[in-house]
Amino acid sequence: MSRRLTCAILRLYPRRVRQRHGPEIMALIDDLIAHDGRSRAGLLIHLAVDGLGQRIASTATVWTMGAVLAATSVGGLAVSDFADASAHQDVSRTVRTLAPARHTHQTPHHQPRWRRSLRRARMIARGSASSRSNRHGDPVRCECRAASEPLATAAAVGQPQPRRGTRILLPRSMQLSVGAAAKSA
Amino acid sequence: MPERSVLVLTSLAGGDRHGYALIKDIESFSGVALSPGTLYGALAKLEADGYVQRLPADDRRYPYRLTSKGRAVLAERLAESARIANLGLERIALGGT
Repeated sequence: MSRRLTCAILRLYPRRVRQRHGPEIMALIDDLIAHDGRSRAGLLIHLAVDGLGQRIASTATVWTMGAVLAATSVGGLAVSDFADASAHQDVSRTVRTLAPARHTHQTPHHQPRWRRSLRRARMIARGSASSRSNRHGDPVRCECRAASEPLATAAAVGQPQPRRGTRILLPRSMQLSVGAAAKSA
Repeated sequence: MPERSVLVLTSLAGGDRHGYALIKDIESFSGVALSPGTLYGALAKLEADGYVQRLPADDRRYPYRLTSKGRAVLAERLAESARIANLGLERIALGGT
């Protein structure tokens, strides 16, 4: 009976301790009872308390490792999203949406050629980049002040015009001029 | 390293011992009576860290031996404890209130 009780209490211990040291613990309890006259009940109570403590410590370690892993994963995703949003912030100014956009989830590196050319044309218009020639060798000069300018710009740099229903992205300054042009029209 | 692990390593520094001998030795030099679960929990951790090794069994009683790595760690830990103890004793001797 007492041996079965001891075995049951040993189940409180982590498997690593129980499997490797279980018989030793039972032998030690027998020695303490035989040589020191210790009470079996007291030893078993101490055994149970120690087992619970070690089990809690072992479980807490596993949970802590899991929590750290989850936190680092979530943090990494958040940083990635933040960096992605920051990369789009200076480019993505939506003027109008005639229909659901097709390219809103693309990164600048994977944008279609007409959009990259549009960005290049905007930089030229701001004076932050020199003008360049189109595929026919004609110089391209952009005055981005009219509502139809994005389409004209795309045509000017030799790229196919975006189809109707495609979201057009412009900086804030151009949004104002587009809005004023739309009102005057 | 927990205090009970230091006690176990210190006991094994005096020679190979099994569980009962460890408990009695630790009780004799430190006055601490380790329970069986505490002792074998510490031994399992020390064995996993490579500080002690289990020798072949004598019946159900396995003797344990301090490894060279465990001896080095124990020496480092005891030297640190001695340094702190000496510092504290010097400050007490200087009459700090």
